[in-house]
Amino acid sequence: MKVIVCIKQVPESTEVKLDPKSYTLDRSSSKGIINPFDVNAVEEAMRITEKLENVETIVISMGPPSAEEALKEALTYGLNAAYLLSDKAFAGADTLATAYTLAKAIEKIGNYDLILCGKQAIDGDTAQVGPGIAENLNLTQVTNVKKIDFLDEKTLRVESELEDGYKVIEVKLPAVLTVTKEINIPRIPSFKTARLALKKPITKWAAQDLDNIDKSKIGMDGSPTTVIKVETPTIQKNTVFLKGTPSQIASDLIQKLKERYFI
Amino acid sequence: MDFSFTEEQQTLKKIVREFAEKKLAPHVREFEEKGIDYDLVRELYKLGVMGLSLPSKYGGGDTGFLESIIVMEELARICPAFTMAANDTWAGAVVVNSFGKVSQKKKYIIPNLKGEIFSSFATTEAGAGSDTFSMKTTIIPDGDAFIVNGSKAWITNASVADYYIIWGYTDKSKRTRGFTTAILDKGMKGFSFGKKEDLCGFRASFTGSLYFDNVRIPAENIIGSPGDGFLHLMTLLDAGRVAMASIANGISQAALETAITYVKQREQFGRPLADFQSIRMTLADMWTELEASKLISYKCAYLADKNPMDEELIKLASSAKYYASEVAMKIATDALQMCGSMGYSKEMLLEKYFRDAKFMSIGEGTTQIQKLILASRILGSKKVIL
Repeated sequence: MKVIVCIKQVPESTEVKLDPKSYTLDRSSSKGIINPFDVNAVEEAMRITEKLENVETIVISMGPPSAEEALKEALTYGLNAAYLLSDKAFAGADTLATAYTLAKAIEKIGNYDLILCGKQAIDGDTAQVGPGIAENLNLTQVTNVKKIDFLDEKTLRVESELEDGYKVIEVKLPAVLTVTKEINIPRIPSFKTARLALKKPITKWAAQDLDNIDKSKIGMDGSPTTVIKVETPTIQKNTVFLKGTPSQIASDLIQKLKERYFI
Repeated sequence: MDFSFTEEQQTLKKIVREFAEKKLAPHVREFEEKGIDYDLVRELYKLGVMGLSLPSKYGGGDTGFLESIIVMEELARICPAFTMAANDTWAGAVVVNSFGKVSQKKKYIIPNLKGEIFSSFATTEAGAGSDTFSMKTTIIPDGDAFIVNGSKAWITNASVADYYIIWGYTDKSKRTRGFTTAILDKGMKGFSFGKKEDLCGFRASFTGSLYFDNVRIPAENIIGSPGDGFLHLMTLLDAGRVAMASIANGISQAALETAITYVKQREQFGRPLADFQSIRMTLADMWTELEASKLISYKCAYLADKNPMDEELIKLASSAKYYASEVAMKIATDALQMCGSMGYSKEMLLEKYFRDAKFMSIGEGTTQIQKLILASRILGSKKVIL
């Protein structure tokens, strides 16, 4: 069985600076870490290796050269191999172009059974790349997964979180699952495993290394999303005192909440 | 001269920091009440960060001494008492590895580095602290065995450890050549323990006494040959001193970080404390002294890896121990002062760092003894002061 985990390097701090022109993240302003939901995906891959025999685990990321650090860290958990997709041609990709590029790389790795992603990245919070990979590869997908059970080597029973509960779904592999924090508590990697991981090579692929890639679908060119403006919300306190009879006040309150689209 | 940690050392530091912040930090106050949780020490063995400098064939990591310093600094930044106890759970394995027989190595080191058994290391007696030669414990041959009588005091992991490396006289008339090193297994007839000591700092540590009442040990439990004990002790003391320096540096790090966070947040007279010049002067001193202290212990690691009997190491290990201890006390005091009443209350951990720091200048040879050793060596004397 081959499990591929997709990870993203995100800024550690919540006080991230934005590039004032492009509204993209200024990654130099903060230390990079593995997106926390992706760490759960890495941990889940390791747990699968402990449950089943002959499981090959691969971690993949698209990003600047510094994303290699995130991949190295992922390997310290015990995953077998790592791939970094890094090329100026990939820069400026939105979720559509990112999902396409990752799917092309996964296609090249081949023979995959299960693709695991975090449910979303904590910087963009879009939750689109996992589902996008599934669409590109024409695979079954389940999002917000909080539990995975193997019925047999080709069939899973997963629990997918809903707002007020969860649904149980049987999934035939191959499939893409995006996982939540509830799925597991990631281990602290052992130093022995980490030392071995530091010696593992990381395969680096640029656009030209991917087979049959449509260059109009990668990087800035492949990204229809345009960020018009990003700004920090300002908190204003304008207290309005409503006057009148209780029913009048209630009706005024409902009116004002409707005006502001709260109800 | 390269002062940077290797990628592997940085990874080790990250792993231990994560462990300390996630697993120890939430329980520090509870440990003070009930003592440390040894299941967490077992977790450290599973993480592969204990016994790193020992050979991989016995379960160690084949690393140098610096890796152990990194582990101790990071653990002590969160819980110094846990650090000392955890470190001592494999200190016995160092003795066995350096001077023991292959059979002893297989019996003790392999299960020790799996976290299945723990060690303790006992030299001090009620009447023999720095004055080790006045030790009263005896290890006397009796046919194919040895009989141990006496006691040990202030021993870390007393009653918790499974095997105890102890020293005693086989022939007191021979002075340094009459010292013997032996292994006592918990449960041996006549081997008992005193109560857990009620300490000012390091309250989480299981520190207590060992009592030996005609304990009969087989000859195979003697390390090396009878009379070799002094050499064993001399070889190991420097590592012990640097270990204590690393724990002290961890305390200093914790106190400094706490102070920095507080003075940035706390406002008086309309501005943060960090804006006041007197605070800034003190912070600069604290940071510099801690950095200097760490560098001394790192150099000790470098020297120990080259030659554990290096004359320069003997001096520098005493220097590292006393300087780190005094710096820890000073930084803990200054940090607490910066935080005022909050620092003095149990709302913060500074009062604990303050109590813990004091122990550093007492345990494993006081500051005064370390200075005497150092001065003696600087002046060219080779007179032995333990």
